[in-house]
Amino acid sequence: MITEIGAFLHKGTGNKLLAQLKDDKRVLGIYVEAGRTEDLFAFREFGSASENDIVTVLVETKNADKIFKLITQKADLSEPQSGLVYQMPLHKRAS
Amino acid sequence: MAGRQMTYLTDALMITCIVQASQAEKVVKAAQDVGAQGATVTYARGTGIRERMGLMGVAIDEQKEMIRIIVSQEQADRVFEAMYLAGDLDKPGMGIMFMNDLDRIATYIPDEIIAAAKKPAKKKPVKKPAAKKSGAKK
Repeated sequence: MITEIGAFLHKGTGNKLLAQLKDDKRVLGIYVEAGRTEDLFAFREFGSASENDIVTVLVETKNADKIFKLITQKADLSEPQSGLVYQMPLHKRAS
Repeated sequence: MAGRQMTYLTDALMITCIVQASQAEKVVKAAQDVGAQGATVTYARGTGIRERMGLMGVAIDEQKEMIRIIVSQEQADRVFEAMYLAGDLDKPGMGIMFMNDLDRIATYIPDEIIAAAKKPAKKKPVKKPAAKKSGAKK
């Protein structure tokens, strides 16, 4: 079984997280997307939205807890407006 | 890191909705109108239905917008339905949406909210059933 760990972060922090995790043997895959968010950050650029990075990390379920904690530490969620990290089970893996 | 604790949110779902470019705004607005906090939108490129529809497919934009919204279990169905209707997803080629359970979420939670959640709920006074009189005459 594998698990998806996703993070909605400030613009620019997604690639930093990718650089920190890409050599971790427990990470099966890591992807960064750029998007816009309506509610995560108070800073507004485009009317009601602000730019953000979405990081998707795929890991074995047995490693999910450790990687989840690692990502939340690196994202520093102790401050308001710092983003959000989620964990979601996936059903099948093929590679 | 000493002294810091992490609080997770549970019982949440993620709604993912893929619509044609420039349609996301109204779908997000509909979700917010029924209680969603907001959304994260990214751009994508879609394929599939566009090709299957033949000549009619030119009417479908290849550029897509992908909306992700995290909602609580209570509001999930309401938000899902509102987004479906706002995006006209009952029409061919307009898009697709799905919902996943999330194991947990970590984000900043104000201390006062954590403290309020930790407080035990006040017990309502329980009405004692009226004591039966013993030895009542029939």
